[in-house]
Amino acid sequence: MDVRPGIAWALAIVLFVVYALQQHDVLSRLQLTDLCSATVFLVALGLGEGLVLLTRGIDLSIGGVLSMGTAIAATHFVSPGTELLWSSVIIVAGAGVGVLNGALIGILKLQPFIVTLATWSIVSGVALLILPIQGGSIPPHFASWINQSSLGLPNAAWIILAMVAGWSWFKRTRLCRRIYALGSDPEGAAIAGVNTRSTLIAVYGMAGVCAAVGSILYAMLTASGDPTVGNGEILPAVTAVVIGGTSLYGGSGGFVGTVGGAFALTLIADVVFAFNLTSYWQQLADGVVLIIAVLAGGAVRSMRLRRAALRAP
Amino acid sequence: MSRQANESGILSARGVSKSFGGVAALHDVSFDVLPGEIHALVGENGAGKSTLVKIIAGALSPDAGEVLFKGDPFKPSDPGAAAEAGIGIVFQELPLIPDLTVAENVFFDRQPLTRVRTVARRRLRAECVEAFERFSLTGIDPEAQVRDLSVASRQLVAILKALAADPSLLVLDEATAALGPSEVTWLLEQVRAAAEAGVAVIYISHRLAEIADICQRLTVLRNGESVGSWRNGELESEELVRAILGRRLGQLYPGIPPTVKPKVMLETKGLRAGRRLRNLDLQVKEGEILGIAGLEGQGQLELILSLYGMLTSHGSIFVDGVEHRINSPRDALRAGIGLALVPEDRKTEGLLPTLTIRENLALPVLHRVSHLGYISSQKEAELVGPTIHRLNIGRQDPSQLAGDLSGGNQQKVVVGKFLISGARVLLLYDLTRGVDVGAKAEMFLTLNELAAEGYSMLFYSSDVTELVNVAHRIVVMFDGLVCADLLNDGSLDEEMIVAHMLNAADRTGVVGSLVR
Repeated sequence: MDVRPGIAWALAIVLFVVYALQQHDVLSRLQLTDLCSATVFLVALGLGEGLVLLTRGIDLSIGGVLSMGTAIAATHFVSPGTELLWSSVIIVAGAGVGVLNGALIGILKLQPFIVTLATWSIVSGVALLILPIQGGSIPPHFASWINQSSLGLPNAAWIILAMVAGWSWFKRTRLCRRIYALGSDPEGAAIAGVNTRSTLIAVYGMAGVCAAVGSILYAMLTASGDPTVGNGEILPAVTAVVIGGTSLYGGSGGFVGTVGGAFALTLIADVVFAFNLTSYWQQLADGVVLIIAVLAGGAVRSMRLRRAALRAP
Repeated sequence: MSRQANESGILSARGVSKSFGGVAALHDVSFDVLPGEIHALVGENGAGKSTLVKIIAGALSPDAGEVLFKGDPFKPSDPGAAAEAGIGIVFQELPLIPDLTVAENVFFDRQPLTRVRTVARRRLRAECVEAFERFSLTGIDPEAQVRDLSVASRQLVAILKALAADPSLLVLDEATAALGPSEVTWLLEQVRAAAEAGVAVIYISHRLAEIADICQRLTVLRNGESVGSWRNGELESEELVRAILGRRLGQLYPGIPPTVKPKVMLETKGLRAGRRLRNLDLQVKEGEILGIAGLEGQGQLELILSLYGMLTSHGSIFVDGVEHRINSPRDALRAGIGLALVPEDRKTEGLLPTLTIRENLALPVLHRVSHLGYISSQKEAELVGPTIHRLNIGRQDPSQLAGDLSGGNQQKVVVGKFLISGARVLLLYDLTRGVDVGAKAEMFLTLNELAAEGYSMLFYSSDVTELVNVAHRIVVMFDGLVCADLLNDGSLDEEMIVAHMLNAADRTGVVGSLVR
């Protein structure tokens, strides 16, 4: 049993308690809704980025897809009915960017960092062509859904739960097994008959779709578009995944930890706010939490190995 | 048996102990080497040999006990300090710097300098050429980047580096693991010459034949403790194996039961791939273990890789009489061919370390345990359970991480994977490299059982002794062709095979493509 997701969740819970002690109304429905809706797009980005990190890759282009998605949403969600149509366009576009990444990485064997650096830049350019400056608008009836509740839970929380359910299904699929195998050892996976090209295309394609979904959620949250918003969200997405215990060396980790990591990151911002500190403290705290999470994960693992070694005959 | 440390030893270890996280890697080990002596250190993987070497090298410091070098307590702070003191070490994991040239590696940190303290490139090259001549090593360009060399050539460079520093103590930790027979011969000659010149040598190898060939004394380590030291020849080989294992091993080689049936399971006609595999005709019968011998780089790896679809090949491949086009590992699996490959750098064994045993075993056949892409854990467990049990893998816990298994057990996982996949032809590439005798013996028994069940095997090994004792038939490859096809009917021995390997080279006048 991997304990690293537990560490991410433990960090999130500690931060939540600190936050609750300072801000007594935190348990109110409104506050919980805010927390979930501020986290949900990061969870979506982290789902895709986590899959990519499992294959020893990295996807920077999710930043571009996020920017482009909000830009399309802010300019084309004009009347009821158009939202669904244009949401599908955003998702198809995200998938297209991802498949392009996957093809360049899987078939032409280019480095993920370089490929996605390039597509990040390209897609960011497209975002600026669609919406040159921050603005546009999302119809309120559509945007407000993210801050509403259904069956006693915030809608944002339902989306996170849906993603977790989707993950626990996906985890049991052949494709997912191939992804872990590929990240564990690309050569070994190929020997075992894994088609590394199609697997990588699927992984980056899924990362693109996740980023596109994240962009729609983000647009709903801010009720407007921002053609550069994605640039600041790439590293938080990677951070959430890593706090959640996914290894940059590939082959180990998972989405459950990522969700904990994403909540931890949002809660850091909340705690900084609750203590009336300037937001500069948030960046500093992000880094400290990242190091704590990674150190704790490593310490627990070596402790277990030692215990296992003592048990061995 | 002479257990007490000798006062005149150039290096003496006295009661050395070292633990890692509560596990004793070495416990109260004493040991000494005399000037001009070749002293072998033998034991299973994990017996503590490499830990002892690392202590001598200054990479680790002992928890208790001391090491005397030339009579004085010796505590090198790091491997650089040990090298300066006159200890030359060839480590098991080749610590050469891949992006530097051969010459820069051989003279690393003692390069000749110009007046303005930059490296004198021309003199560096000249000195390296001189070192090559002095130790009669040919076939490697001093200006080549180490990254571009084969693993065997890298090993030769590492050995040359240690020799060229004129050490008073030379330590060779598994230096022959990556070498072919002619290169081993070269190494043993150099080691003998160094010893005659008064250098003390600590020689570590799993190949007991080499040890019998070259050493004056040997010390056996087992579970971190010294079992004893003996003169060479004092122990029968059976007694030696028992000292190493601490138990009776039936036999290292279980014999070669007659399991070959007439049906041809694998046949190649005019197989060509890359520059090294030129035109290969080969037949492997049902239940046959076919040994592949040859000097390094005669197309053996290309043969295995093209049969497994990892290298584009031309020509025909027949499995069980049916011609198959094999362009990817998936094609090979579909045709019933499995591959157990120990890659040259031995980092992986086709094994996925962060996945469990169960996940590793089921990976090639996920379609058999899943429906619409969704895996049934029950079916998966039913599929892998019998194989884990049968091959006796580790603690027989399917959820154990493969990366936590011992080397021998990891190889069982690799073999098991292809048994489950339904492969009838197994390609075994250097399966036993660096594996200790206990695990080897178990693996050979498994191979015999598989042959008896009708599996066909292509068995490549760089250890000729192993081929003679395991294979029904041995083909010697040279320059991408089969140059000899020898039935192993009891009349074959190692020398005859090596003679074939070298003869072919002689005939074509490319003797010593690597080593004279």
